Amino acid sequence: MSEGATVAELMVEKSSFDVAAPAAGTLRIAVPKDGTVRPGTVIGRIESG
Amino acid sequence: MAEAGPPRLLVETFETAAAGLRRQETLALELAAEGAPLLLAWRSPQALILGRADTRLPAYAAAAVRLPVEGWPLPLRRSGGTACPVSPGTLQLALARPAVAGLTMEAAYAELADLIGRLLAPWRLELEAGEVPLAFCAGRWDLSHAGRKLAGLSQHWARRAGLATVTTAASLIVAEEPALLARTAQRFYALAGPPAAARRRRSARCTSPSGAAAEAS
Repeated sequence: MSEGATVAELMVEKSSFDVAAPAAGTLRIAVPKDGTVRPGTVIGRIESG
Repeated sequence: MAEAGPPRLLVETFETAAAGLRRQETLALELAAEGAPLLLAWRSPQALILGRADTRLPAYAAAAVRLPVEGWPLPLRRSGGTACPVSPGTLQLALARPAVAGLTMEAAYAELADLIGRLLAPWRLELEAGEVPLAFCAGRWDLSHAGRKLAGLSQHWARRAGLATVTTAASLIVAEEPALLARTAQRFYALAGPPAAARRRRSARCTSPSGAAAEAS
């Protein structure tokens, strides 16, 4: 995955947010797809290399 | 928060609602070169525009076959919310602007709500912002008069061409029978389920500016 790629979409009520990768690497997704998360939850990690 | 200046108005008609939604998405791409917000007003033939969550309903596949046969294609939008019917008698608005530092969701919603308020000024309605629970595609930024929804707003935040952007969109009933639109949304949820969702959207709590003005007089 390259830096700047859209890696997630967050939705709050009727607002949606594209989340861009802050760095290149391998994405490890930490939460189930289409799930509900609380503010501050880690939803994924990018591992370099 | 930096002032972005008045928006440049674009008025366009599309052969499908899906094409209108695609055009709406390109506004954010043009912001870097444009230097000012863009306001797109568009119309298209009838369609039932879905939110992504609608496609995960238990019987969505059946509804996705049935509704287009009945004359209601089901395009998907990038902003949030649930099913929103459109037709040549509804007007879609999309305000794209740079997401400058300090800009909040509320401020971006308020910007389009203010524009709609000025657009509807000739009808002398008392517009309120707040969810109309029994209207289709209900949300906290519904604009209503006397409890009847006139417009519903949604947003999509994205980085495009290196620029943080927000596009706030609204659908306004202008010259269409609100009950037809409400029935279409209800039909989708009756087919796609779950049953509770269909029950919640049974009432037609929407109206047009002229309908609201007629009721008020």
